Amino acid sequence: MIRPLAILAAAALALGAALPALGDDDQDEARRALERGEIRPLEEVLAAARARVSGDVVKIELDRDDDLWVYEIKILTPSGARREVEIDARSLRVLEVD
Amino acid sequence: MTGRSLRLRLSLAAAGLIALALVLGGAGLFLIFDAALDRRTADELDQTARFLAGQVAFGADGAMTLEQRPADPRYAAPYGGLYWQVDAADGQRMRSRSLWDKALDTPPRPEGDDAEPQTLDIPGPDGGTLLAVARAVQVSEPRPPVTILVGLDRRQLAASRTEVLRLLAPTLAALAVALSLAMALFVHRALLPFRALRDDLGGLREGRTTTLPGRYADEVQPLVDDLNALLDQRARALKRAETQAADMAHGLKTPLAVLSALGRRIAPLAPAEAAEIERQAEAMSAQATRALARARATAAGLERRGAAAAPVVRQIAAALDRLPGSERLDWRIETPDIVVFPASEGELFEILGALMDNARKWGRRSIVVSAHGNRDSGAITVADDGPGMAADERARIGRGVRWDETTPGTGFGLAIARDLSEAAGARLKLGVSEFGGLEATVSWPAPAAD
Repeated sequence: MIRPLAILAAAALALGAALPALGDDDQDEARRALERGEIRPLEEVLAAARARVSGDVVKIELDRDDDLWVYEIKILTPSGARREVEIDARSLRVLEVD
Repeated sequence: MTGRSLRLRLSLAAAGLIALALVLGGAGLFLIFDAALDRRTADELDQTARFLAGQVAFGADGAMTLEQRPADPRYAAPYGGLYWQVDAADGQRMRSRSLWDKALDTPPRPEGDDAEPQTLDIPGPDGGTLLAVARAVQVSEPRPPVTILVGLDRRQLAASRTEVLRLLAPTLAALAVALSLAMALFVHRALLPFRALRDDLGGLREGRTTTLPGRYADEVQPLVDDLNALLDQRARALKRAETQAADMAHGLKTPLAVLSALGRRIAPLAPAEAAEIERQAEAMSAQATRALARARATAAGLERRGAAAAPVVRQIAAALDRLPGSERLDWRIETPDIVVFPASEGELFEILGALMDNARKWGRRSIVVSAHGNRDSGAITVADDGPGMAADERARIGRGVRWDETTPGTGFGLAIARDLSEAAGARLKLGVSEFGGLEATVSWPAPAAD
């Protein structure tokens, strides 16, 4: 039953394409900052965030405040609450949770 | 093939069961596929729901905003088939452009604090049904949760379903045909022993064998063994009957001879009675001889053997030639070696012995024994130059009736030859020979209809 699976995959791809791109060019900014050593790789940041709040990551933003790179990560907990974790991108220190 | 063909019936039953199994299997596969497609689609919809959960925000004035919107073009085209909607508890609502002038009904909140996305069917904006995922998300602490709905028109899934059906149905049909053919082949193979059995039985009938040879499958061998036992039993019973008939015939011979002698002794005193005794004794003797011949013929009936005609003819002629009074006769033997009579040599001896002895008795100067034929058919003719027989007499002997009751021994030879011929699947025909005498022809196979 290869074909039905292929169709499933095609359906999945079609829906996957529906997921939005973030639009801005902040991925370039993040790449440059990582290359300069100003921030840590995202997987480490996400690991730190999940250590604090578990759930599905639904939004990630990288902001610069006063020479400090801050990851703002929104996590949907299994109970349906959306939490926001701010993490120092360089030290992986959790700045704020709300 | 008839309606009673085991092969046909088994093959049809197998094909029916295969078709049934494949129809059930196909339906099962289709249901599984359908469920998988739904689950997968719901998963994808939930990704969009979670994306929206990340984008919902409330401004300082309490206004609900979305920082970004899902980018699939179907969310932008009115009634595009893919929809989302976010409802806040205070009545604020945001909708995808595809919903256009409609809104989705917010499903009732599930009981308890269960945040797992709810998968459900809801009415779509243009009459269709949406496969939808609903999520309640607490965006910020004091505020009641927002409800996020993402739905896909099921008609968009129908295409996938149709495609699967179009592939699945012919695939299963081809599988059904292939399996049915394989089963037919299998049944054919399984019934092969019966074909071999039939061949062996044919060999038995044609006299090539006396028992069923060969080793059969364990399931068939008991049948073959029973058949062989039956054949053996039958052969022994026939042998016994033959022996009994022979015993009876032999046992009657001496008393009959005594009876004849007594008859002759009283001939001067009572000639009429003596003649009658002689006639009756002769008749009984002839009946006994005929019964013996019949028993032998029956015993040989099942297995049809072949006997070469030429040596039998030569031996009989040589034996008859030594009898007194035979010097006057000129035997002409025209019997090719190729002619094979479809019975045992003993039966052929009896038939030809009777015919040739009859010719010897009645012939004046010359007797011709000729034959033609091959392995399957043929004829042997004994012709003499004696007085011959009238047409009605020949017809009577054809019916087994003795025609000359005044000359002892006559008629029964021909009658015996007739019985034995018929038992062997041949036919005795009496006619007029080229010398004006009797011509007796044994031909085989016997005509199917007279």
